[in-house]
Amino acid sequence: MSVRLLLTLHAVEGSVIRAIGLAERRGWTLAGLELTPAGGDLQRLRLDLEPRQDSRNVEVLKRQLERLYDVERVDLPVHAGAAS
Amino acid sequence: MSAAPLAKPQQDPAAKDSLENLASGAQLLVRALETQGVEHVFGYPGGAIMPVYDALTSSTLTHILTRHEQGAAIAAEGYARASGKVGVCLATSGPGATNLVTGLADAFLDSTPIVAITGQVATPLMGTDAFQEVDIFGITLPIVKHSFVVRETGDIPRIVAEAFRIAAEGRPGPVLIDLPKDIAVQRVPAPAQLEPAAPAPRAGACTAMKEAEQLLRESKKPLLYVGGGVQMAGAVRALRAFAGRNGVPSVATLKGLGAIPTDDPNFIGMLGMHGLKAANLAVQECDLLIVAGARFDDRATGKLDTFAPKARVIHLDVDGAEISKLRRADVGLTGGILANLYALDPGPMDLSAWRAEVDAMKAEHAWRYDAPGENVYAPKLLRDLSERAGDDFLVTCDVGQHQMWVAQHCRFVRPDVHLTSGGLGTMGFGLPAGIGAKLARPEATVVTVTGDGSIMMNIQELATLNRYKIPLKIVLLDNAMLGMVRQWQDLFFAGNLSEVDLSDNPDFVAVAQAFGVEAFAVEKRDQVDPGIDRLLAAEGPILMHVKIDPKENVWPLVPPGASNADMMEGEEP
Repeated sequence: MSVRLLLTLHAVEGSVIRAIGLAERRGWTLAGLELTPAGGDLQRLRLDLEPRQDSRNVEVLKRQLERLYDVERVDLPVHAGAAS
Repeated sequence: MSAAPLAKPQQDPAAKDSLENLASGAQLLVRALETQGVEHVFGYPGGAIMPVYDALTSSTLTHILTRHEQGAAIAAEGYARASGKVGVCLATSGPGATNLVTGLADAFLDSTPIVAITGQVATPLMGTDAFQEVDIFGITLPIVKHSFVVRETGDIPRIVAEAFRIAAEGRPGPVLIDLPKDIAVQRVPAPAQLEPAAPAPRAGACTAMKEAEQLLRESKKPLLYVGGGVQMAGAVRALRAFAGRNGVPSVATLKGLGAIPTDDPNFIGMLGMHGLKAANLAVQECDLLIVAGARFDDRATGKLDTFAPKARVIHLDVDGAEISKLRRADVGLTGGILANLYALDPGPMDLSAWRAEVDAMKAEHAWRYDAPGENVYAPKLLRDLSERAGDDFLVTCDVGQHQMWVAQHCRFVRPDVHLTSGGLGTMGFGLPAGIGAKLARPEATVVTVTGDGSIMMNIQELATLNRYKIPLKIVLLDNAMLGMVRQWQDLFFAGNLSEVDLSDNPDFVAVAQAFGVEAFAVEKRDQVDPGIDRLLAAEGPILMHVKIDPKENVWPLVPPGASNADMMEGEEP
């Protein structure tokens, strides 16, 4: 099942690749993404992801992304558990 | 014929004044490190980092020249783990930087705070495949807590302060600073004063405390499962207070050993693949697992869905991403382990029946040291060494059979005296980590326990020992084999031994002596006691080369993919 995560992150060197790479290394396949400005030095990154195994927990991935220093917040849209 | 002295360049006095208020990026970096309280820096010079080495000569920092950048990174790890401070390593661009990678990965997996500073080719050359250019920022993204490429010279003090804060706060880890050469040589107005990184805030207690206390009150068989995170959180006293107040038995991971003293009556032993059988049985029997600073690593849990099958779980960790990552927690207490352990108070608990059951398991499965024969029995040697070295004993390990014997048999009274490569399993860790640890804790009796496979991974650091006359004691357990791989090939690959024979090893005593390090051999059991005497009495660096039986195995053993309940016990000693 696809999931969608919305990240707000600082527009600094490496922030986008760090987030995408973390998701892939933690067992998720990238199905889609969109990067848009979010005001100031912030960017909004939408990630649509599919788990490589059913055991992968999106809440754990959310917390792993929140650990990144360039990431301001991570939202898991309530009605967007499945990516459109 | 002596050369004529060079004429000093003429200088405009006004220009001199302005120059005195300028500092190069390299000078700012060195000042920023001094401001962080750094005393020792481990590294190796080269082209792109030369401006920093130029600035080092007029700083208060003591630079330790290792003979390979991997040695520098791991020495910084050893320094950090032994001192509780942030370790620092330096390397040049390209191969110097890539040689740091194993140490960075090791620090990442074992949550060790280090700051690695790499030289980089000048900014205009970046991305052109210049000489000794490599994208170390990109290469290390998955194995650092954070990283920076310095783009403005004036940012250096801020970046260094941030790097130290990030490395140390929360769950510690490695931080990389990549410094292009033009940024390092550019001169900018120097700030009058630099600020050290703000101390990492202590996280407070968690709101789920009442639920955790209720689980404790309902439990008849609670068990503490202690990991390395307890020591990193500065929560050892809080853990001991909690365990002592309630008499809760405990087991520890490889990294958690010593948080509860290994000779404490309520401590059972290390759990997991090479754990004490009683520890694994206690996990299988408990009805509540109180996980403190541990992460359900596969080497600790064995087959995960059979691990602690009767237990509910309270998981305390500073890193919220660890809660329910592998095993669902009934109650997750994120934030400060220290505050949570002090706050966790379920009231009086009668655990006498459970403790009696645990005591019976311990008695039945206690280690034995009565191995027959004349050959040196490594487990007994290690137990005796740690007991005779006393409370000042600090060991750094390499990786393999000897690493497991150290964990099983040495006595540890605190957790920061057992420095081992737990997550990455880095052969070559022991010697440079020992160098870093001895510099951090000169009063400790620092012993590196290594094997004949592992020591060859970083044997060049014997030159570092000799250069600085660092009084590190090395015990080299030599079975002329890659012993752990041989054991697995015997057990799980039908004895088809493939590339594990090291009988063409060099004469390690002669090698050590050639590096200027005192060395001697122990070949028979009756030579062990005098050997330990000589090792402990030595005032300088010393290596004790110990021949052991190549057929010796590490027991017990949970086969890969099996439950911890299904330990192989092998032959009696």
